[in-house]
Amino acid sequence: MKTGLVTAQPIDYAVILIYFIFVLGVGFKLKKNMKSSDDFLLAGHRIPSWVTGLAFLSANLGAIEVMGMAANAAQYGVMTCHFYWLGAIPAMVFLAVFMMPFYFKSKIRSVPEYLRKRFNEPTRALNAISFAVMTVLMSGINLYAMAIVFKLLLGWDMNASIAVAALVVLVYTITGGLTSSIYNEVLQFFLIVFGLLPVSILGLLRFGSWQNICDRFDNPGFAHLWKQVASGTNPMGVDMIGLIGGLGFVLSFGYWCTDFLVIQRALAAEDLRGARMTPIIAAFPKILFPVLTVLPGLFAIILIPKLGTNNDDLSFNMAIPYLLAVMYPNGLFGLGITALLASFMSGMAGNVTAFNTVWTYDIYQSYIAKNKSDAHYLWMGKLATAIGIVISVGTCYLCMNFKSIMDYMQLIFTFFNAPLFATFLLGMFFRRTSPWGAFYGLLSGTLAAVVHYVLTLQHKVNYQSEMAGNFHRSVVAWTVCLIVTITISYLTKPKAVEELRGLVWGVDAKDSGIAVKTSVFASPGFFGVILLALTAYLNYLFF
Amino acid sequence: MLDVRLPIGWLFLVLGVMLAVYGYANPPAESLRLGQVLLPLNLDVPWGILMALFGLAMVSLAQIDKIKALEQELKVSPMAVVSAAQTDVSSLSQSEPESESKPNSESKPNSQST
Repeated sequence: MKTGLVTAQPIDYAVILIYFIFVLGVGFKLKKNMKSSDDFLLAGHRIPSWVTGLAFLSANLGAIEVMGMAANAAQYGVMTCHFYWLGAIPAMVFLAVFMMPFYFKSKIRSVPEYLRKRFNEPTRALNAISFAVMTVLMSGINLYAMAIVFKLLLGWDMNASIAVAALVVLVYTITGGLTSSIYNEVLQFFLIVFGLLPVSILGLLRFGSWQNICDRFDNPGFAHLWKQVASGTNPMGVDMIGLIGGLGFVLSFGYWCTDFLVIQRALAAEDLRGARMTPIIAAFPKILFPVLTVLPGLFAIILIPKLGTNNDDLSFNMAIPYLLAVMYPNGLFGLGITALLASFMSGMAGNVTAFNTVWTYDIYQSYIAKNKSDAHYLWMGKLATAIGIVISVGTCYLCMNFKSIMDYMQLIFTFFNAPLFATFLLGMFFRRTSPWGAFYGLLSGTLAAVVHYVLTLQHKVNYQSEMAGNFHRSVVAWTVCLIVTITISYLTKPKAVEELRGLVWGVDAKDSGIAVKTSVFASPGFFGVILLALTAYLNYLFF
Repeated sequence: MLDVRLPIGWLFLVLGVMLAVYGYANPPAESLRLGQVLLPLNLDVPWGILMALFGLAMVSLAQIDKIKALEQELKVSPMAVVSAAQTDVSSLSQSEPESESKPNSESKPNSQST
């Protein structure tokens, strides 16, 4: 076996082992609560909002977030913060304030189910199938990222680490279902914070001040969010339309407001207020996350100037793993490795628990085996979990062919999430949208993204970087879906107003009068304004 | 259902103590280099203590909430709680002779030694 860069000591292995014991223990402890398919797939609607909030954040805190964002920071500088302050916070606030009431009040079990209630069966089927494909494609990324890091850093065999991680995730999701996944995501959130924070603290102590860090960049644009965007000479190679329209609007709102992976966590909350507060509670730490991801990426490019010169052991993705190796003593190094492991596992489990729900309720129960007993669907949920993990292992080998994890992920989003956001926007806020309008709009949006991708591959459409191509592709897919949906909606029959109660803006649900009035200062809207103000200030600070 | 703060709390408590003890027993050979300054900092110790404190806080919060919930239940339906407690006691009483005999047997050598 080829040896890695660092030799881990018994203490490091002990930290990893204890983490595994706790993760599996949570699954087994929750096993006796898993009596129905609702308990297993939906966590029985009884989880406090601070827990769903942190799980909401952590399910997204997979390999892409931790390694991908640090890699991006090493490659593009502070502009990576756009993925947080432009590409996440506004969308999370929008979800909490405007969209969550529709999701929660309509008592849906999954996002495709909303599409069935609001539109028709074919729209739901289209979305359910594309979502199932997307989640398994995404979940493999985490396994791949983990295996490559451990191979380069510690010399571990890639196949063995993929097998061990997949097995642990399988055991804790199959025993405790969504509850176990959510509980472990919260545990993993704290581990990631404690495991990675010393990198940022030590780095800041070493450089002394932000100014000292900026002085060390070869490209002064590395220290700014917006300064070079207008001129088009920025390191990321993106323009205003791509950045604001693509990332800031279509991709971010498409992901945070319609991706069942995150919505599922909010729907597990006890009540409507809990569900609405879930994205808000997640958004506060999210604003600060660049400290854990972007900052280490910036340190890495200063301390390891050779980073990015090849796609193997010096790829940008190795930014954080290298810093852990250089800065941490044994013991803490074990904790850092465990934090990375936790992020890969939470990212994977998030995808798998979303996949099993959509498969069981929206595909299996709806089209394959209707009217079976609940015990049967519980069994199917568990089987889908196992199959989801096996397919993830397969897709893990697929994404080994991609140069950067971030590009792979954004590419998948442009196919599925970008057009879906147009469908949801029209479905929730435009009463005239008809069922067939939504179906053909969604289909043509996805096809438009595929055609655009093929044209890019053939160099008929060219962009400065793959990232810029993804941003523009998402705008194209969204616009095509919007135009086709509106056009066909005016040519076909809309649903009767009676059928739209509680599903569309301006058509109240019958029980809307019962809603409990809370103080303005405790409302999600008030916290949303605070979040947006903070985000605006940070944009000004790093302009 | 399981309070999520318990596994989080215990994990951090165990890991924190482990790190602190390991760091204390195995101080790093080199001082920590921060720019021009060499800092004699054994990072495992302070970070381990911080983690253990965080774990302790999590476990305590979970316990406080558990006690509060019990008090609340007592206010709402005291009889239910009392009867639940009685069944607990009756189940305990079966193993009473054993539990009583232990402290006695332990106390004997103590008294002899004094």
